[in-house]
Amino acid sequence: MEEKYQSIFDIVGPVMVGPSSSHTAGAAKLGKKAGQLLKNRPQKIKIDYYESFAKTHVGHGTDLAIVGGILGMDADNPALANSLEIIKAQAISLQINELSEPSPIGHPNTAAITLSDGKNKIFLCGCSIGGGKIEVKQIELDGYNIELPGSLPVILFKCSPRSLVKILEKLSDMGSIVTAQNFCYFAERENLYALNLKEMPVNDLERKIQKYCDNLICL
Amino acid sequence: MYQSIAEIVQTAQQRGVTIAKLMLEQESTYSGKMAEEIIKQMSEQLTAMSLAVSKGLTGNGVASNPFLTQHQAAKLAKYHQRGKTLSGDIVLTAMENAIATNEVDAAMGVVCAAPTAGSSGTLPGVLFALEKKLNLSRRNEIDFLLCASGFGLIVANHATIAGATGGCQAEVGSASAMAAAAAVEVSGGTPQQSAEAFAFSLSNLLGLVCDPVAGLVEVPCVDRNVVGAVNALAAADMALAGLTNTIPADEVIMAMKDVGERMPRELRETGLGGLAATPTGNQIKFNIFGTEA
Repeated sequence: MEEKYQSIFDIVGPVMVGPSSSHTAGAAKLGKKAGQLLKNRPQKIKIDYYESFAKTHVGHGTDLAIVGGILGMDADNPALANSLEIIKAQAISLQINELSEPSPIGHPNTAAITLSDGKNKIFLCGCSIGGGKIEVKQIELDGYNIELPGSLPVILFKCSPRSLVKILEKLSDMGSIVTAQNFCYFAERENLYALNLKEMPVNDLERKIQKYCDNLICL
Repeated sequence: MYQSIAEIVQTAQQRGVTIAKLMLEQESTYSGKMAEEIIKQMSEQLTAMSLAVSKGLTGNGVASNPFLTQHQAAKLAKYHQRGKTLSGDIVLTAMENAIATNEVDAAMGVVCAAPTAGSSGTLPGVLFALEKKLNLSRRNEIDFLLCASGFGLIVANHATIAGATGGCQAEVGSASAMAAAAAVEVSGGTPQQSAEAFAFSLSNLLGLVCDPVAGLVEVPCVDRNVVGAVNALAAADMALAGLTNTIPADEVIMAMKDVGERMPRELRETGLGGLAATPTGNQIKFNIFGTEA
């Protein structure tokens, strides 16, 4: 079976700001991934909550955590508690919706995050599966949707099918194991690819594959 | 990666090594890190646990923002110091540590999830209570966490550790069972006795619902960690005394998963049932957020 929890530090850990590993630490991680997709600091943040997240986000500090994550904070950063004040001071707008329909990705702790910086817009839908672990199931970049199996890490990039072969070779050279491969048609002779990896390669992934692709994002 | 508690116990017995050592090896294989590096990282988790306990017990302790839980750990410690307690020293220390950790968690302080933040008081509750009694070195304490995490991985991968999926039995229940198994190992018990303690502990908490008042990780979460810690100590003593379970540990995990799947969503971290839906629970929610459960 493919285990969702591989490391002992998924169990004893993370070291994190309370109160909830799924609703605070996991939420901060979801926010951080969304922030990485946009790259620039957002002007607008929209968060749609489903199921358990919709019912309990206020009490668990989920808003503070997701927004802190979007601003680049990690789950153990005590400044998470001040994230709403920070975006207020920077005039970043925040819209929060508690949706009553079931989660589109079938998990009680689901958040769908939409960010825009005025020019670009991104969307990320993911869930917090317990103990601070998250899954990312849907991403929208530049108006293109990509469905994902959920597990992280994922690397996203745009390139031609020919360049993909080069990238897969490079990953293989680095000892990386690709566990899933998804793509969507992006433009003429170019696709948006998402590769799920068993773990993030430690050595200069970006430097080694950047020349074969555009907009490399490592989630 | 070990697929069952039976496999862990069998391997540890055959090789004559501790479960902590098996977990160190497994993590090293998974992450490619040397044992020393893993021990160092676990030592950081241990430090975070110890800091949270101190923070919750220093002076009057801490208070959460909505003031649902405040200063209870410090109050219990004062009662303990007066010396006229019903339970013994170890049990009271475990209770104080567990409450202290979860009060810090509720106050948005830094804790180490084990396996979750809502259940973060149970492991340190037990561990630091045993520290003096068993004269544990720092390395012994790291082994306690390594052993506990091995049992936790089996639960997380074969059932769940999320209250929203399986109720509090998945969080405090799992934490309590992990703590019981690790308490047996640091006390010199056999791997099989660790598995017995795990099974006692989790069996005793099957069906425990997740019903946080106002959706906050405060009531009853803070006090449920007391139950988790005390239950772990009892289960460890039972196993060390040679008592055995009828249902093996791996099957208890299956039962926990089954109970979790049958649990209505109102009782799985939605704040819609149980204590959260009582008149007082609803009133508290209304006072804080202006809406009823």
